[in-house]
Amino acid sequence: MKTKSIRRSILFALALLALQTPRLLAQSLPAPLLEEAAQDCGLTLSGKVLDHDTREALPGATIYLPELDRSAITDEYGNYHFHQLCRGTYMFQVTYVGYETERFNVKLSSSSTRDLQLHSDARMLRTVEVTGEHLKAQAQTQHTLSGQELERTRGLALAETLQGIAGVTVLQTGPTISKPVIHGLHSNRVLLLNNGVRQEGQQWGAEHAPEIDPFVAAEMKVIKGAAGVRYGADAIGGVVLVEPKELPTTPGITGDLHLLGSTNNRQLATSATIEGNFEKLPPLSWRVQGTLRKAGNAKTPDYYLENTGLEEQNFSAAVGYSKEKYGAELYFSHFDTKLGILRESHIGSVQDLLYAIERGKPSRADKAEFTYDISSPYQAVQHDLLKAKGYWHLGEAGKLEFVYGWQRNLREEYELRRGSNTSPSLQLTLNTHTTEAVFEHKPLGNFSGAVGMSTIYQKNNYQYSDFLPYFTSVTAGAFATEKWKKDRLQLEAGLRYDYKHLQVKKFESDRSLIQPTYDFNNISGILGAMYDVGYHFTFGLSATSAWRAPGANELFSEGVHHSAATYEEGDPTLKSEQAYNLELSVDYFSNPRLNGALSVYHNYIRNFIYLAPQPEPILTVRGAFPAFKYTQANATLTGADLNLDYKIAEGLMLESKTSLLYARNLDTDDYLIYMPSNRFDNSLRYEFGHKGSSKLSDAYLSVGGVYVTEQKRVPENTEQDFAPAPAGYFLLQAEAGTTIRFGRQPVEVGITGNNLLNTTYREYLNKLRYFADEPGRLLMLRIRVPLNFSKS
Amino acid sequence: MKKLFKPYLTAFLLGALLISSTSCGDDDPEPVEEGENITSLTLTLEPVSTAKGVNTATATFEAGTTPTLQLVPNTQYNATITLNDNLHTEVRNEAEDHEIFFNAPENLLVVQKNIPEDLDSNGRPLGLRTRMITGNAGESGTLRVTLKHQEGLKDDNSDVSVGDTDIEANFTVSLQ
Repeated sequence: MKTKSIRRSILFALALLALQTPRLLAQSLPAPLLEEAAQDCGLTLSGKVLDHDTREALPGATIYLPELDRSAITDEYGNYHFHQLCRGTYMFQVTYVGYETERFNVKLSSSSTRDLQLHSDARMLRTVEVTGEHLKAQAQTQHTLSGQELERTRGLALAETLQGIAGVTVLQTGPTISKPVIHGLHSNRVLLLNNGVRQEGQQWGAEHAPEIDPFVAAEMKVIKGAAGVRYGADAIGGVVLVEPKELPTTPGITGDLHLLGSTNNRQLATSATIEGNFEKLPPLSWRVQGTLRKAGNAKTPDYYLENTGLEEQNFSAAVGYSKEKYGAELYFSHFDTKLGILRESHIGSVQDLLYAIERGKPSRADKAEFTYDISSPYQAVQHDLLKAKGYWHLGEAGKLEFVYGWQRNLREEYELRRGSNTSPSLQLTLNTHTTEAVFEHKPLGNFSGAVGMSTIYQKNNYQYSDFLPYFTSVTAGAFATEKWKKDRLQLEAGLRYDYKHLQVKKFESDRSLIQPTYDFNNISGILGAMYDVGYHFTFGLSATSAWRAPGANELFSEGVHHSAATYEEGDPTLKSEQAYNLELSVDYFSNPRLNGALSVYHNYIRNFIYLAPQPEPILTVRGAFPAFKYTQANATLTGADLNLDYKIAEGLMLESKTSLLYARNLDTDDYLIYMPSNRFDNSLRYEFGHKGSSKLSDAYLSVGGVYVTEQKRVPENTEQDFAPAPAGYFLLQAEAGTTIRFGRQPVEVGITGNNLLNTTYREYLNKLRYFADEPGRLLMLRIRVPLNFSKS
Repeated sequence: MKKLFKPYLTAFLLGALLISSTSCGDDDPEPVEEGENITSLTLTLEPVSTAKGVNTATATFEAGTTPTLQLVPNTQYNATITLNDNLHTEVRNEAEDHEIFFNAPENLLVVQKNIPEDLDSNGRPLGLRTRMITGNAGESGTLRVTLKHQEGLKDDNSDVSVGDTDIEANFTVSLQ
């Protein structure tokens, strides 16, 4: 690699000199060399690597030029490129798993294309695994966080982990509670898949954080935009997939230990994983994992935020039995958290809220101190997941997979109240059983695809408060998707039908029990096209849809929502909402310097359910509350996500992410409230490579910042917010990390700094922005120790 | 193809069986026993001196109402606040976490807190018992009474803007 870059930089320098200072050059360089440099180099050779018999493109094949010690790997469509070649004859050596290595001689006199054909090697297995983040499998935009990128977010809550992805923001309730927002949509419009099972907590609540331990994940994937076909109803805004690592297949016992500590809220966290595979019974493997997290009061640049600590204890265990033809896996996880909520955000009336806004900071801000203790108000949430999975490889037909999941979500909310009553103010128990069966057929000609069906059975109970009614629901759905791929074009289509039955049991104000039932059913679809233009360019166009049945809270809630200082009323006549998402994307990938992806989307939602302000306030003993009613309107969310990576020099990268969103309510001809404002995230990253001491490797340093604009797109026609959107802000961030070797034991060390300038700011999408500032400077130290208990 | 789906069907039926067995306890919700909520506030004003033949005045506030208190000008009253269902005794028991605030034009009504028997254990007033002194004849206006829950927040500086409101009662006061 080094010789290549030196050679190239010499050529580049020569070219520059030739352009700018011909006289100087004429003196110092012999004439023929100059001519050659200017005219005969800079040639490009490109083409495809193909299977000789089937003419199928071979993605991931290696093309090696021994003379120049340069190599290239073909992209998803089998394309390869060599730039900056000089005139002459070259020998190319092409290797690919399952094919015989072949050599080709190419005489190059001008930039040209040449397809290279390989013969399959009968002695070898014809399987190959292609991995790489730039390879798109679907027209719809997805983003995956894994490896180092994921490691750097350890210690953050699930939603904060995903915030690094363009188009993904966070909806917060203070420092402890956060939810992912995809293209402006969140809560029950974003589907979470934990280990392949739909996460079923009380997602409808804006202050109900997802009950998933991010340490379980080896990979997190975000599908942006409506994606109802594969994952079922509700995926109006997008899908988040949290995937653990595959169970080990090689004998031995290994593990992983994380230790984290931070300043500011003095968070301490540890997570450990141990996994193994039995030498005597190779198909059997297992894993146990546990996480402990504790944090105290967070601190803004000027004061501590009282009662903003958190505690978390999670564990999971998995055992798998995997043979070539069939296999099964059993997984159990338990999540247990206690989340403190800023004391002074508990208000009783609109006047209290106005007082808080006017005061500008909590009344006890100057006296607040650090503590790990959590008192009321707080949330205590437990989530259990039991998952059983089985799969069968059905020979030439394909693969059949069955997943059953049971989840129990117990949510308790403790509020400030009179008397020595220690029971929660609200307790909800949600039990969910899900089943899914998917059959993936073996590729038939140019077609590949899957069919499947799924069921959900759900039951919600409450105690202490009937804010959310008892309900039972049954959902059943079936889907089919097919992909057709030929040469540079890939087309995909899918269809899904879902039916949902909902029975609600609710007491009327006269204490009589009513049992209304609902039936919802709808169709979701997907149409996508991807075209490979060549030259590392791919275009994608997708039209997707998803629908969502109104939730029990939207149908039946009635009462004062204290944290929002509003009176909210449900509407039992609501219909389903349906999203139609159109997305155009361009990917420019695998280039030496500049890479990027642009995605432009338009999400049209019919019967979008939102809280509409009502003209008459509701009078209570605590004063008048503005009234809101769940109402339906047509809405559009239009935006763009842009990712750009520019390699400035060897090891030095500029990474840039931009998210823009424009959301309108078409019925009231106004902006939608509480939508994320535009964000610009830029950072400069330097990787030291393997320079320097042999004890250190993979060292990197990164400095950057995120700029969030003021949200000026707020409703104009009606007064809906108690305070204007806060000003825009800029946060300086930096991080550094390396791997240190102690003998044979590697240890990964990293430090991340957030809000390094200790900027005082407030975020529009934080529900506590009326009461207090955001946390100030925070440094987080991370240590990861991979463990190997094998005897060797 | 039919054969392929056999294992799925078996598993599906098993799953369905499991579901139906766990959902057997077909339960109906019990009505929630509402914790005792504050729904009304009664203000009783007794003249300090009965010599002038001034009568006791009383009025009860409930959501959406503005009751009227007819008071005698230039008179001192001992004011007492009671809540529905005797809830004022609960407030009295948690005097350190509560305070009642009064707001009225000065020429209408002056409210004096710091009555010895009304202080909490930290020496801060509670406001269930106060002394009110009326202004000149002909004045009328609004008296606002706000009970604030100030758990962990009540101190020398905590005013009506601190904590969460348990009840906010407005009375129309006229002096004749």
